[in-house]
Amino acid sequence: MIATDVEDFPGFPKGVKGPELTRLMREQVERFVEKIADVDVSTVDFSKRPFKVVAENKTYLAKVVIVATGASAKWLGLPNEKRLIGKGVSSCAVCDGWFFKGKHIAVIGGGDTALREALYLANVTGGVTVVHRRSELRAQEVLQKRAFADKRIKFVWNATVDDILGKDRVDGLKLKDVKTGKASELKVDGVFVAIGHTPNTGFLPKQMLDEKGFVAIKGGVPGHSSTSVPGVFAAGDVYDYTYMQAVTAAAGGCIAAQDAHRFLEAEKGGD
Amino acid sequence: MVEVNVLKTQMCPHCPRATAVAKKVASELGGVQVKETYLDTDPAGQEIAVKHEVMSVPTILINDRVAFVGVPNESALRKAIEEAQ
Repeated sequence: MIATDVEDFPGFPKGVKGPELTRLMREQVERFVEKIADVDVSTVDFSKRPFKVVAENKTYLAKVVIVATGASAKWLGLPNEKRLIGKGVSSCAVCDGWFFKGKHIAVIGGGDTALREALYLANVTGGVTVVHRRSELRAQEVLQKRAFADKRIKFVWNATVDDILGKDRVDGLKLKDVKTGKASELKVDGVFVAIGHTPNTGFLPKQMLDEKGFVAIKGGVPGHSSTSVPGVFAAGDVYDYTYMQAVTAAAGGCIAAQDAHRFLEAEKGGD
Repeated sequence: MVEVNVLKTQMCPHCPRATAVAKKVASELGGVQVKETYLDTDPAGQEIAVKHEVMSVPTILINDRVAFVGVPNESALRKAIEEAQ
């Protein structure tokens, strides 16, 4: 979880830092599971059971699978963006904000993530410019109010990023006004991209996904988390692009675990 | 002995995974020492950040050279360590 301050997770009246919440969740999980494998899944075979999950040259067999791989930050897709990742281009304010102490940085986007990043970065950098392609923000009102009240945060409206400038490190952005087509340059030492998320579903068969690439679930009670493959369930941002909150993802995990348990029990009963 | 230094910051959510991958590969290969350095709170870390011009974490140094920015997968890290051995 990359979110900076999580204000709305039950049990944390003063809020909790995203990474701290993740650490606590992992510690809690370790009480109940035998082993956590920190591996990247490359492919799966859900065509027959036991299901096969291949990760870093090892195959894991499973009676049921819960897919909870979440979503990753979207990039702008500019050639210089890729070249300058780690040299001033970032998508994680809490990871990399510290490196821009006293420097001027830009945040690209207009949603909740963009404003959270901007509010966090305003505290640790020398100033933030939010670049947004529309004339108003999509972010929730409370975040907008906080951002507009913060004198360290400026806004450039109706602008897209045409290029990220800099030889060995970022030194500016080439912007285009979407209304007039006029080009301009913004001098910054870093750029944080916060334009939304792509679900981490590249390893799944296409027929399990919806048109946006998220896992398609059946919904309903019980069985809310069921996918098109009986015995494969989903939880969190990998299917939910509506709520995308820590608390809804955690609830999704519980629902998927119960659905998986029911599924196994029903199978046993059918023997 | 190959030295793998995982550079991280206190708030970085991806960094513990980088350490976990490094420790796992190190235990499988042997002859590898894994260190962790906080760039934001450890004074020595701040020197390392300046020296290697680190602007993103996790960054992994192998024998004091930048080998990875971001969390590497096990096989890529194993290959890089083997090349350094």
